[in-house]
Amino acid sequence: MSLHTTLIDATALAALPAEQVLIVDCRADPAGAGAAEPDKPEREYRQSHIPGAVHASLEHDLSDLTRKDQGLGRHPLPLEQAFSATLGRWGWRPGLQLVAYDAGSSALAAARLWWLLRLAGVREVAVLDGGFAAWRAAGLPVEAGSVQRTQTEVDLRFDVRQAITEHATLHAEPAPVLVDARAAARYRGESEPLDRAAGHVPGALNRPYPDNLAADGRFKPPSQLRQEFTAVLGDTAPEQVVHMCGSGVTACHNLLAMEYAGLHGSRLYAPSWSGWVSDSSRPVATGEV
Amino acid sequence: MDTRSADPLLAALPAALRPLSDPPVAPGWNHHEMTDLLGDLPRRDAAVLIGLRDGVQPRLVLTVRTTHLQAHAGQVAFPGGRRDPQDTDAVDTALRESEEEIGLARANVQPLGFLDCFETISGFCVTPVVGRIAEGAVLYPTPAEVAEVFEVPLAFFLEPSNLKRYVMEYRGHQRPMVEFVHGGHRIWGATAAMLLNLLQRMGHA
Repeated sequence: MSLHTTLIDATALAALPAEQVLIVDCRADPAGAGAAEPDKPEREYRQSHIPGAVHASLEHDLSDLTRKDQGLGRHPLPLEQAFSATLGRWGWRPGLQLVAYDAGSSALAAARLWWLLRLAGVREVAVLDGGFAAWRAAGLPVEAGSVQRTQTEVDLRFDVRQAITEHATLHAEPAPVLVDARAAARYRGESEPLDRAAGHVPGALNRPYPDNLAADGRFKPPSQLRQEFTAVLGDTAPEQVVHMCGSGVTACHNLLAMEYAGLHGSRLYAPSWSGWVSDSSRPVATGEV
Repeated sequence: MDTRSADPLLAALPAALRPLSDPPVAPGWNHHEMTDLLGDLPRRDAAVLIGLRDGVQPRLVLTVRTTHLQAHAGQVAFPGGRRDPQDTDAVDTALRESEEEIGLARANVQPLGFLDCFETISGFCVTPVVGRIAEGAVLYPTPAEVAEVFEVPLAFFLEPSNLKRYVMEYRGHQRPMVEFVHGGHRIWGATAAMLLNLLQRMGHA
């Protein structure tokens, strides 16, 4: 087998020997902890998941909600120690291929786990292209219940340069180019279902993450993604690009799409829109750029 | 280059190495085993670079040698090769060969120390030079010598379950061997043996 570092398709995942992969079910609700049924993703996992998969909670494993009041947005990043402990609970060890999946789009929240591992310098991680929907459409087996794997000791560090948490960094010189992954109507400020103000960070560009997907729910080919991102970014170097969305979750989808397209080195503004508007003195733009 | 080590693995490394002021000398630590196989044939001097790229996950830089090379064709190897008469020392050999094979500028390498000499079945006595590679160093593999460059987290080698031990029958001798399999790459032979030496020196094997 070779390593998978961006996307993997369902048949390739099914062909991996069980001891050579850690599969993580990251299905999540966009409303998060405020959802009508916050434990619905875990219930769905217990009902049916890819055989051998462990469950990741967006709220508890891929975020640190205790830091929500620190202006870090609705899904603050987990601390290194907590994220290491989560990986240890799942039985991850260095070099073991990890595959993350969610319901289908990969935006909630498979791409977030993929990115968190990249943040820790881990490259042996891929997202199941098309998610659980593609797995089932391929007629592959599922199982019910919870999976317990032998725990490991994990001690990872984050590369803090990849995750922007200081809002002031967005005004540094040269200023990074912000790319907002939210739907066009939220970006323009015409509607805002989740956060306290509607609109976008002045100067941010808009690339709604569903644009990364083809009609069948899988990622568009790298060449097409490259062309489309280049159309949005102009001659901005990938390393100058900083992704954002509502809370630093779906933005990871754009980051993954760029890496898949060979546009390497873009970063994440983790607090995103919900963190930006936590201070009402920050400017808000509406309408088109 | 910034010489501080935020990473605990990198910080622990220098103490595990022979210092730069004290290069290892022949015979290699496996001389006895090689004498069984090669006799007293004189060994030729060579050096390799065991290069660790800086980052939150320090990574070892390895190559896959092209299939048409004379020695160790198609194998996973550290960049390196035979000592030239012009080379001032083993560090010079390792850095020159790394420049030639993978386009690694020597300004991007900070030598840290040595492992013990290792003798190969092909008749070389290899001095392994351990060094840090700048995180942003760009590599330009030479297609004639290197089919592929890849990087493996140091933490992968430190995980005991990733070290596989086996016995190989070679010319009637039972040779204990080690190997690592990372992704599609099988790391075995001299390269795996030098890695085992590194792990032992770090107290991990």
